[in-house]
Amino acid sequence: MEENFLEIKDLKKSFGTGEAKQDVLRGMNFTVKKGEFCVLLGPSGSGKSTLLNIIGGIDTPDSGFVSIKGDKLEDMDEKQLTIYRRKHLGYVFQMYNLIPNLNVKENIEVGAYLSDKPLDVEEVITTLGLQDHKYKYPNQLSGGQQQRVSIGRAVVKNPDILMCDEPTGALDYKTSKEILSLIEDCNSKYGSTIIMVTHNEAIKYMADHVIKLRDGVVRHNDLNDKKIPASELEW
Amino acid sequence: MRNPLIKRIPKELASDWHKYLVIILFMVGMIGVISGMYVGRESMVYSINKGKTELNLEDGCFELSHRASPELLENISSGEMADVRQYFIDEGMKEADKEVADAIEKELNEQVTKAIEDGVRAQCVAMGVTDEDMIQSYVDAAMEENFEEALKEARNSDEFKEAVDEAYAEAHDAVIEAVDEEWNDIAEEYKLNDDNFKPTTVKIYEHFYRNESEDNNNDGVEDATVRIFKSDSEIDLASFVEGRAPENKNEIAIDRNHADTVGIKLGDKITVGGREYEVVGLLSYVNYLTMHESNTDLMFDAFGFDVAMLTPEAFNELTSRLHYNYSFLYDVKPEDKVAQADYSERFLKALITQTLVDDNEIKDYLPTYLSQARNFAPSDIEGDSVGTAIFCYILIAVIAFIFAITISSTIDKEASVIGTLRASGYSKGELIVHYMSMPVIVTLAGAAIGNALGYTGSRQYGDYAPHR
Ligand SMILES: Nc1ncnc2c1ncn2[C@@H]1O[C@H](COP(=O)(O)OP(=O)(O)OP(=O)(O)O)[C@@H](O)[C@H]1O
Ligand SMILES: [Mg+2]
Repeated sequence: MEENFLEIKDLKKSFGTGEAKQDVLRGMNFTVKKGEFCVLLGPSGSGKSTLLNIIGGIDTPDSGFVSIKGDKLEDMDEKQLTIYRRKHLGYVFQMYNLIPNLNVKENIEVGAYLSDKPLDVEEVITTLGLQDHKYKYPNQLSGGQQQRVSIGRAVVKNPDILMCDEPTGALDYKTSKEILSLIEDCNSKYGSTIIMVTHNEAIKYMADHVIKLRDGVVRHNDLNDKKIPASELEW
Repeated sequence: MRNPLIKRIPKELASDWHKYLVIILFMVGMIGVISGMYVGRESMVYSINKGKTELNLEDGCFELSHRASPELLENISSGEMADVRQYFIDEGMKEADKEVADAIEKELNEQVTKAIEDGVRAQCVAMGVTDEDMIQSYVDAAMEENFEEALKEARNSDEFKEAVDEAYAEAHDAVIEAVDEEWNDIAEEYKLNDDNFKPTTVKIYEHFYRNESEDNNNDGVEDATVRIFKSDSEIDLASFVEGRAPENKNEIAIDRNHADTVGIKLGDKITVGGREYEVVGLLSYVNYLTMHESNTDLMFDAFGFDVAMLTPEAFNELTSRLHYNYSFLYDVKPEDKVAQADYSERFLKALITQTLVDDNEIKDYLPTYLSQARNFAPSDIEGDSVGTAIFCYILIAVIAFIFAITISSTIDKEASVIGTLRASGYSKGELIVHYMSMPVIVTLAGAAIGNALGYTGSRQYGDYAPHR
């Protein structure tokens, strides 16, 4: 495993000004190695999504930096950032964010189109168990199905880093475990580095690396060498 | 792999078809009207400009009181001013010389006669002859005998020669003085003393016409004045809207505006100058786009004025006064309006002076750039085009407004999709193209259909009909 594939250094971010100013990230530090399955744990409002947005280059920090393979995001121009997001990043949103007038297959194709080394769309659809829903539109799908499509769209890019923001937040136990297995496959089969946000403590047992956030800083940063497969998780 | 976002476009169209239908219909309507106006105008301007060269539009015309001599035409063509002062002097001298010679002859006769008579009477007194009859007979005899001799002698005398020279010199001085006075007035009036004068050479065409009375319904009452040109004219040709040129002396072609206005159709019989002709052509003379009889008419009169074409044979059989009208073309065309005025002024100087020294008279002069009959319609169309342009700008503003609203509502609706696509790695450019493609397609479709309709629609309206 390559050292310090992803480095987060003294990251600070606040929203609002004056009275309403809220420090969300207050100097966050950690590193993630290539191919690691990393879980970010923290209570609601602790800044997990904000952190992911900064790592994804969608938002910018007030100070500190994020670097990928030694390249600082802040040094990249708009074009390089776009290429970074396009070629190296897969993003699974907390809110799914599917494109409403494209069907399941087309939504996944959007990811495939952007990647240089996409996985086979049909194969991803099958893996996700969506083959019966290929031609349905997002508003015809259940929340879990939408979440799968959202994951499919990120996974099909075969990205170097797959970021998942509460992929199981809205799902039932069984579906959650299926989705987690899927992400696990991505990590083990294709070697994607995973950064997964969750507030479900149980999930930490399937990760290589568990980072706990609270009040905008890293409270615990533990490596887990006894990880268990997603299918064996229980909560 | 094709960009899957493209698939959104037809879906977007299908789901919001009524919105886009309204926009397209609106654009088709607006663009159709505007393009119709433009196409119509363009085709008018095109045919008007095409006519300029193809139909040999004159640069101007002038009318003389009688037919010009070949020398006069040649001199006018040269563009040079005639030496009017010298002409006046020559004419004055001729007159003066004749008068002086007559006066001298008379004086000489009287003096010689008196000298002979006085001599005879002196002798009679000396000889004591007192009878008047006697004296008279001596005088007559002496006259008979000596008059010729005495006249010769008197003529040869230095005294006489001196007196004659003096008389001529005096007369010539008087002539020059009188001419200069008159010349200065004329020169001032027409600015003929121009040191920077450059000749404007022209080619002149005989373009005689007659004004005849026209009786459209053969009821014996004159309905209009018709200006008739010959069908073999080389200048100011006509384009035929319907029918053809007259081919025999019973056929006539008349202006189509006039025909439309008073309701004459091909094949109708009309009476012109007391003779009946069959209308075989409806035409438009390149120098009579509108029916202005006189250039001072503020408005055209397609009711009361007409221009027509007859064969030379029929033309010559008409009896009304022949207008000795000549048209000219500049050898070098003026480049702009300022040059046109300049050319016309210089040409006029040559025309005035040459006509004067040729004992002819200018009845009328009209450079084409000032011609109402020629310029009223084009400048009217120019006015139209300003209206069209304003209409066009308003349309652009309206379309921009519609799209600003449509796009801004789309962007509100699509905010999360846009964020997702950006986060997934679409570039700003790709997204702009994506979100612009719909309005562009709608606009292009509207423009294409609108133009097609406008073009077809405006074909009926292609030629210029001033009496709308
Ligand atoms: N654009 C923003 N403007 C203002 N405040 C923001 C913005 N984004 C996030 N915040 C605030 O920052 C804090 C952290 O939000 P964030 O979404 O990162 O939390 P989270 O850890 O992802 O929570 P959850 O588990 O509920 O998703 C919250 O209090 C939120 O109100
Ligand atoms: Mg969150």
